[in-house]
Amino acid sequence: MIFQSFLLDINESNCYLVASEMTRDAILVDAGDFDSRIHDYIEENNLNLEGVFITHDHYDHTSGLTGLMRQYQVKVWSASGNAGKTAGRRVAHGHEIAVGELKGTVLATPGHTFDSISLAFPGVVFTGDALFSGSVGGTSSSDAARHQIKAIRQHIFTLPADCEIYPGHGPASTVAIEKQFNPFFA
Amino acid sequence: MSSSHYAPLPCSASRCGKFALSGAAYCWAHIENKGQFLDSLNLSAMVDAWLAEIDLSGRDLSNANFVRARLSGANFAGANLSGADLRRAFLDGANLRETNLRRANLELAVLGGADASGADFTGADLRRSNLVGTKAHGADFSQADLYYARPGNADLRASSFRGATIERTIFRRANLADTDFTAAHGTPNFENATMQGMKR
Repeated sequence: MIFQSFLLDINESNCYLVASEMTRDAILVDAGDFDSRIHDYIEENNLNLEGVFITHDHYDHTSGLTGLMRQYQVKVWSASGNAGKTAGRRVAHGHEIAVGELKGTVLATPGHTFDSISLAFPGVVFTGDALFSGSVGGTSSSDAARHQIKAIRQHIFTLPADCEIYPGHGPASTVAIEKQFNPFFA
Repeated sequence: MSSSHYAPLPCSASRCGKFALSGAAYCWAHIENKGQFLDSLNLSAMVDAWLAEIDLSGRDLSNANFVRARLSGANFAGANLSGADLRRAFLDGANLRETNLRRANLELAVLGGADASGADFTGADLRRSNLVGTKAHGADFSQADLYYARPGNADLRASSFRGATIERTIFRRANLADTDFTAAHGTPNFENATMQGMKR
């Protein structure tokens, strides 16, 4: 797996790139911006950008879509099917997204938004703003907060302990660290 | 630039479920001649290396380049990592007791669950680092930059943060008893932290 992360200026959000070393097919996870670093990385590594997975429809995760779609013909996967007001493809818990031979699985992690989703590949999960290092996403109600905690326990904390967590903001983590020490769970 | 450490080779030892270290056929536990392997390491080129559970205790690793390296569970007790580049490295569960990390670059590094008791982080770059659940009794973070670092639930008793940057640092539920924050600057989050005996 080719993997690269980009720390963006917009709310210090993260954008991730996942690609197959065999086929050079690539996707982005979230697109708060689409700056020259991302473009250059794709071109310099001879990658075929096939799509963008949007974890949730907030501007700091979608504002780069317009610029990106001017340069690449890509699919946009999101829970609503129209994240960032782009015509895309609707995905839900259990759907698979293929990147060459790599298979990602969509996980429902609602709470921060009612339809927040995560994307898990073997050994790596992208959690958007549902789960951060030492924290969880802000929610609009206690009910939403409860749903978020439950979804994280059910769908993220059941991944292998050494699975790496890549959130929408801040540093990476692992399932083991967050299960054992995240103040919202420990 | 690309990181391929998500597809490391499996350890060649039968029935071992771990991954082989970069440049070896075996995981750390199954390498027979550990000394020879350690001597063969090119410390200036450890970017993206898979070195989980390696024992580098007491070694001089000053200015080594471990960018994005997988060092989970590694033993660096008493080692000299001053000036080392550890950006985005995974040091979760590592033994960093009494480790010299002066001026090390640990931006976005993962130190969750590590034991850094007595470690020296003076002047280190810990911006946006993961310190969730890190144990660091009596560690020295003087003049370190902890901008937006996340020491939630960390055990930082009797540590020094003199002159450190703690802007947006999230000390949620951390144990900060008997810590010294003299001349530290910034607006951190001390939500539910233990602060008895804290000096500010």
